[in-house]
Amino acid sequence: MDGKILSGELAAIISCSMLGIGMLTLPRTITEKVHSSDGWIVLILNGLLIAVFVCLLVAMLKKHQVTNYFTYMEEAFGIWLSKIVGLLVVLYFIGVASFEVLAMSEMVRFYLLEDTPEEIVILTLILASVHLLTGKIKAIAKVCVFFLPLTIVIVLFIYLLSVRVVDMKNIQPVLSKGLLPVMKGMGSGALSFFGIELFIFLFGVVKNQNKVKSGVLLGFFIPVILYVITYILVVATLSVPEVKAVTWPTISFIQSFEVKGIFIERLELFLLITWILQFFCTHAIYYYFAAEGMTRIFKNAYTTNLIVLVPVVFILSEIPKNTIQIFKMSEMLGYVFPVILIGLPVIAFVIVQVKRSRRSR
Amino acid sequence: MKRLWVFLLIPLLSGCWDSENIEELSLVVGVGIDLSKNKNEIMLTQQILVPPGYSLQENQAKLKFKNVTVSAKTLHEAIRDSLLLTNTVLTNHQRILLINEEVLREIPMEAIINQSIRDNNTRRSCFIFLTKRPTKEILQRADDGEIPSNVIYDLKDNEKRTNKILPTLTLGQASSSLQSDGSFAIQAVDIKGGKLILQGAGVINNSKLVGLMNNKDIESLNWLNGSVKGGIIEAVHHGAPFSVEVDKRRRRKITTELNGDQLTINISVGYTARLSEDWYDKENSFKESYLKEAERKAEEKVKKDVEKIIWKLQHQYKTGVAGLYRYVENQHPKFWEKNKEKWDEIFSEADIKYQVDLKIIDFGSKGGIK
Repeated sequence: MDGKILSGELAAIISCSMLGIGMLTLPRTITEKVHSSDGWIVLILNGLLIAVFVCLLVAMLKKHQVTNYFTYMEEAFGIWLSKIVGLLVVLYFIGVASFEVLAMSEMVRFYLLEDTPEEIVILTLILASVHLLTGKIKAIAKVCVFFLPLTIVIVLFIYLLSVRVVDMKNIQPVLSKGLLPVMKGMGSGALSFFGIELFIFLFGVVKNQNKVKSGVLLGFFIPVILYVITYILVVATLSVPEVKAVTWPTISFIQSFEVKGIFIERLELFLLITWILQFFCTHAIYYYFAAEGMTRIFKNAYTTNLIVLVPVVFILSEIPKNTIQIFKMSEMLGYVFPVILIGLPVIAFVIVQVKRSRRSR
Repeated sequence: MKRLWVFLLIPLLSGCWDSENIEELSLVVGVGIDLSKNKNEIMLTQQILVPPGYSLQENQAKLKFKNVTVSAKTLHEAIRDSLLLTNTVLTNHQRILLINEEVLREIPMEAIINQSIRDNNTRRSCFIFLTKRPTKEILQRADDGEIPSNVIYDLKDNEKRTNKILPTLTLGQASSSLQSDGSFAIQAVDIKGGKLILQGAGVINNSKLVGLMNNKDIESLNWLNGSVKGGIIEAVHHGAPFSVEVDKRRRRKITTELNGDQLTINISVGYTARLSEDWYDKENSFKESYLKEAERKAEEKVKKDVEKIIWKLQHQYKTGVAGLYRYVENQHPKFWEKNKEKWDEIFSEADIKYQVDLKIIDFGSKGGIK
């Protein structure tokens, strides 16, 4: 990998890869499981839990002086097994990349361009991200650093104008049914935390290794805070039973008010546009890691992999045929996510630890 | 090789797939729903804007809108059928939805607004009104060529000046309420003296229209809800009428108590006000005791009105339109969980105590007579 990134850029990449489809559906997915308005507690608890684990992971990676995760896996699993594991990881990356572009095309089809063929929307986005990815991680970092503040400012501005329709009574009572449903709902937010696992693969590229932890945590908490605000505002506006009933709760929420007096009456357009940028970032980042992973496994050229992945991602994103299947796909990816984030690094760490201590003996 | 890129870029210049010429679109500003004469069908009236200067030469005083009416079994079918008469309809800018009383007696409201909620273009911020007359008639009522939908839309801005208007009900709110306890009041529109007027309201319970309210009831309901934003309280003291203008809400507090299964709801609201008119010939507003007396009389008047509406809600409509269930849910979640199915019953038997506290802070530019 040529070119190292700063810890601030790391934060931007992590944030951008987390802010994807999760933000638009999260009030529903969480409320469905929790059955009350306590989803924000789930989000906060989940966030803190993952943050603690992330700190632990950083310490682990630092201890073993990991510069590249695929080389590290080779040390842990041996050459052949590591290739298989690596391939599975790459498959997951391809899966998420296709899912994000698919979700975007679904949103665009429904709210913006009804008659434009989905294939065109999908292909345009894939090709645009391939073009970006020829610049490797440094280019992605620059795009993320540019898009992230824009997204945050626009989203917060829209939220500020929503205050009139928010009814805080709807998110009370807090913990009406006790902690148990909250605990049960803990797994439901997984989709929203997609993206945090990428820092394991980014670990070696950061210039100043001592700042990795602060970069990752900053990048992690920006979306988490946005999620909590989103959840509270959306549920407070739509009420719990309604949130469970609508497909895109965050967009429905923004459609429930309009601003008079300014030339921008309808704000959902701005959210949609910003979110296309976010979908693009998320997609590009996952795409990059898929290509990068393949380069490590097959030891071929990075550019070849970029091009090979175009039809793969395209076809994969063509498989789910309706809204239900799209949400099913996200559920499936939700099961793999903890394995990549928690299972894999922990197992790799233990094996490497054992191997290294044996060698030193 | 470099030139190849230029050729590849050409398709991008060919324009947008979804582009449509604006003069070929029908911008819908208002929609009305009636029962059709055909059995099991509903009638949909769409009010469509006609761009100014569209046919300037023919007729100067041409209307700024046109109405398209079609009937079908479902609303979406009706919308599609309307395409036989007009250009592609665009509901992005729909401001109001009028529903005829008869419709809500026959068809659940949930079903009536279903299409609009599902639709990707109609916004959840569009307002819903009830009508006694056929909505078709209301949407045709144009004074000075104004667009009826916009007239109705703007009328609701007056809620700062009068308390005979219910807080506006948006499509989104209606949908949320129908998902929750399903009872709320909706403002009605009528024609009086050839003009469009906001008058009366309907009470919806479980998606059905269960009763009608007059302006007096609306006023009392607003007091009960604490949603009064302005307007006048008329009362009598020393045998002469006087009016107090409501200024600002200072507080609103609702507590609920449970005694076994008996629910008590305590509501207390506080407002500042102005003595705006007084017919008593020995008025002396410069004296504090005089104002205190007026305050008390006005409070009594409000309290009496509110008690009447509480009685009506509990015995006539048997439903908690006022959204009080939220407070029960929040303050006694366990009780609510157990009893939410029979909330209407519990509400009807609840003990509702209402307190109003008015503070007259000024009396205008005149305070005494003689």
